[in-house]
Amino acid sequence: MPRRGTILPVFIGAGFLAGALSFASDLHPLIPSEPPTASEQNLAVVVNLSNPIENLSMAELRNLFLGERSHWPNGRRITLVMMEPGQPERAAVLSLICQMSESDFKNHFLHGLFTGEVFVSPKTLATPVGVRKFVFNVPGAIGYLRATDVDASVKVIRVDERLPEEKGYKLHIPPRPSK
Amino acid sequence: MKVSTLPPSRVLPALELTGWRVRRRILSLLLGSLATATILHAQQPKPGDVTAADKQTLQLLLQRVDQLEARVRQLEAERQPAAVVSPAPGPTQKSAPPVSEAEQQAESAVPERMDLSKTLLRLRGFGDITLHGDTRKGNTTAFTLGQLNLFVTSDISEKFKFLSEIVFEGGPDNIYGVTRGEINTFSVDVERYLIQYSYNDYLNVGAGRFHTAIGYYNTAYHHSTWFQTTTARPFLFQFEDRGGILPIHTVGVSAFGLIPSGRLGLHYVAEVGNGRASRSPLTQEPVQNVVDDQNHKAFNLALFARPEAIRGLQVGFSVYRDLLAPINSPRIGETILAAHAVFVRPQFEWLNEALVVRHAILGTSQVFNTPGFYTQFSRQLGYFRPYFRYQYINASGTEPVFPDVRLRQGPSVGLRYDASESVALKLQYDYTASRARAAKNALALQIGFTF
Amino acid sequence: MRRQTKYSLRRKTIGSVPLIDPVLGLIARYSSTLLLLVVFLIVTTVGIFVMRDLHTTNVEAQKMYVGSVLGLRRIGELQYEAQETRRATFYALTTDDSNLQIEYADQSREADRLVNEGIIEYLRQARTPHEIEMASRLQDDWSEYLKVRNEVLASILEGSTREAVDLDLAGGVQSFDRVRQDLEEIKRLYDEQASQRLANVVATSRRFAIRLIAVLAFTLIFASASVWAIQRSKMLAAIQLANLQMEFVASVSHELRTPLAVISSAADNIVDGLVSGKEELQRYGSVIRNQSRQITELVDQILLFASTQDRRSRYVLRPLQISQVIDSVLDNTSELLQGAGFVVERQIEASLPCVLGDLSALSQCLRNLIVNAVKYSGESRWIGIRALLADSEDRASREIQITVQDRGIGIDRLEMSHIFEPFYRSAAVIAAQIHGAGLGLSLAKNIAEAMGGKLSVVSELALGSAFTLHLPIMEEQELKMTAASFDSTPLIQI
Repeated sequence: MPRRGTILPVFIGAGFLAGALSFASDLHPLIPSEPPTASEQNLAVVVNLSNPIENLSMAELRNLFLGERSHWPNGRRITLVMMEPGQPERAAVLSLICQMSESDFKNHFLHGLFTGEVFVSPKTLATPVGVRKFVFNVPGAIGYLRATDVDASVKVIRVDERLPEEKGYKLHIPPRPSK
Repeated sequence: MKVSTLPPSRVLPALELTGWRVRRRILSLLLGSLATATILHAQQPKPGDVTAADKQTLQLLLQRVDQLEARVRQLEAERQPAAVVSPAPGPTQKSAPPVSEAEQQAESAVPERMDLSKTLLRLRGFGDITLHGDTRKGNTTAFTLGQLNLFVTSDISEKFKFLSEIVFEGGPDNIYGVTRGEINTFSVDVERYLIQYSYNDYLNVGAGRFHTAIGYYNTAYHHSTWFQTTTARPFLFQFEDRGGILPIHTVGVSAFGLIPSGRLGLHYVAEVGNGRASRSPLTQEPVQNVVDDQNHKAFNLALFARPEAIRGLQVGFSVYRDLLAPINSPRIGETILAAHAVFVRPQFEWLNEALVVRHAILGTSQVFNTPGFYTQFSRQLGYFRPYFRYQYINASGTEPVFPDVRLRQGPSVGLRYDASESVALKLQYDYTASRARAAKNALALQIGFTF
Repeated sequence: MRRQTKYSLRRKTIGSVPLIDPVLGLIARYSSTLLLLVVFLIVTTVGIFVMRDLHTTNVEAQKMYVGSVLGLRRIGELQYEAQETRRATFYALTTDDSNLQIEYADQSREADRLVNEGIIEYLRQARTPHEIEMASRLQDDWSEYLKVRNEVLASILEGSTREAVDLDLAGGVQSFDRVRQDLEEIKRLYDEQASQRLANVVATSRRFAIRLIAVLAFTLIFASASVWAIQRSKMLAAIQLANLQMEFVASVSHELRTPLAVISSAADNIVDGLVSGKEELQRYGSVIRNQSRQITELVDQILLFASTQDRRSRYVLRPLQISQVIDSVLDNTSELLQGAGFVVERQIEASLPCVLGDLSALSQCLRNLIVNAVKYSGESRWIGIRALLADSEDRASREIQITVQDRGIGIDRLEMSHIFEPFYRSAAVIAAQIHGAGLGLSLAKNIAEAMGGKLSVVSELALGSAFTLHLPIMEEQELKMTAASFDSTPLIQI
């Protein structure tokens, strides 16, 4: 066996190199700040009307959607609302905010529950209307909707200081397929 | 000249005839007036007629209200079946005792109990089966049933949560280096038993038996091999009953949460517990679940950061302090310093941890430092995840607590294949160089799963 | 002129009352119609009150229905929807599926929206302070319950069922109970209002019935009495007419019998040869002639009376000079007047205008007045005849007034209204055995009215009477027109 003194630095160096390469390749392209294409729509992040939160950074949003935060600043428990797997809104959130696949997302929450870091799993609803009504009824809820599905019963928050209709908004979603 | 005129005798009948006509007119006038009065009076809305229809409507409405009230009381009574409530009145009864009185009686008569059907009790299982073999003399290639881990959680309330890991594992508990005769038995161990209270992101408190927050691996991975990339834990973080040198488990109280630090993402963990029993003699249970062998408690404080700028990065350190009291030996002050820097992403992980276990024999100047570290990285490639780990630990041969550890180091390389969302196959090669004995080459094929 | 003045003053002061007499006359003439009119007015008034009471009762009954029955229905719906609000919340506890929980939450919110609408509607219709206070209390209690309900729903959706149950037990049950009690109290209020309204309606109906029965009874009695009175008066009038006719027959018989007896006696004497000599024969002949004329006059008067009653009788109206007519009449009655030893004082104004009249009828009228003056002069042997031009009673035109006056027995005031009735003879006249048929004045009045005039009387017992014939004069233009057609056909036929 090579000497311990040489093996270790080699391995560490290799590890760092591999890590840097993987890190570089693993990085998802930065959330594009290009404006949505003509066919894309904006994905709005919505909270209850009584929630005082007005703006969340992308990082804060990520923490919320990964269950790493359990309470709002006003003390209300955070209830994460997700749509069912397969819904394009859910796919957009997993891709743009969580930067995870469906299985990774599930494993993350399972692991979080296992370690005790995550207190409550997200709620899953079937339709955007259900998400909207849930957020309306639960003061600590946070969810997401297409901007066209938003109504006055929920509050849209800014993401990185931008509302869905403003330039530079980062959360886009393919349009709903016409029936 | 004669003038004709009616004789008097003929005038009177004429007058009588006129009188009869008068009487007939008077009679007809009388009858007509009476008839008119009767008709007009009959058109008056009689009190009886008005209330008869309204009474019926009122009766129907009252019946409906009574039915609804009875149904509500029934629903409320079903939620408290042992409660002492008055019988629900029938729909014909008009008045019923107020529901609030019955419910107040129920509350005072029966102590509050938790309705299991209404709490979110979740049960999840983990397990693994391994085929392993190595080159060490005396060891055989065997199929090994790994730990059958029942992970039980229950959302007791908005603030409280219960968590436990009930593990069925092969071999007698808590004994390292078992005799062959007892190695195939199964025993049950409650590895974690924790009730947590979450006040907010900055303060969470847990009490029970938990994994000590030394380093990263111990709190990130518990008794499920399916979660971890490799087939086994680094031997720095091996369980106490498997020869581990660290107090993996603690029975006590733990507080953890965020430290307001903006984008730095600082977290803290502060623990106090029974600590562990000395590993000498080795037949004792290292985790003091019920009785502490001394009044001194173990303390652990950990700080780590998860900066938002680099998602997935966590760096931190911890300090653990305990006082061991082995039988027939001087007490030993134990200090464990650990640091970690890990980078975990769904597709990539790089774990680096280093620690020093310092044992100072009280009353003497003897201090034994046992350093150790590991580095591990893996990369997801589709369903495959190749990984590499290098680990090192160097304990003195005169180390009072774990003199048998000595020097161990070596790489491990493996491949994980996620056959499904719940099943993972792992193939791992380990090379372990040891001062005390010959190097060991080991190969393991493991199937880990969750259910 | 002085006498004219005296007579005119007497006319104003003695006998007739200008304002009341015509009214009394109208009442006497149209008594039946007036009585029936009064009955009609009473019945109409009663009918109006009856309709008013009916309308009031109807309105009260409608108010009672709207206010109480509809109100109770509204409260029943409120109670149902309030229970639905709570029920849907409980149902959300029975499932872990967030989608189902959301549906139940929706049901609960829909039910509470209906409750809110119902409360607002009740608040809007509340009128009394007590109602407004109860409505406000219900609104506040419902809002309190909804706060708890919202927290319970949020806890259920978050998955904290235990918290949800505790919240409901701690706050929801009490606040919902308060809502339930408020609704019960409102229901009781409606019950009380309904009972009160019902009592009002019953009392109104009873009052109306009593009033109606009383008024109808009074009307019936009054109408019966009126009809009885009317019929009795007609019966009495008919009886009186029959009596008068009987008296007329008796009087005429007596008037006819007397001269016939004289004629018969004279004829018997002549036949029996008791009358000798030319002078005696002339005397008997004169008696027979006079008695015959008397009978003829009586028959003529009766026939003339009959002709005036017949509406088909015709008067030939021509311009007449009054002085000539008076002179003619005096000439015709000179034998009677001289035979009775009367002095006739004649005063006729010069240049009196013509009147339009029938010569024979007018002459008969004046003759009757003069004959009456002779008959009823008593011990007096004076008759005055005067004709003058004067203003009519309404001062709108001019008329000729021909007055025949005596200083005889006079006429009692109570008899005044009857003297122009046919066949009427007062008891005093009958007692005084003054002969007559009772037709003279009636005939004279009819003739005067047919000429467009009238006949008036002024009289006082024991002082005498003055009968005045009022005839309208002919205007100059009218006179010319009648002169042009004087010889052809009669100008006016009545």
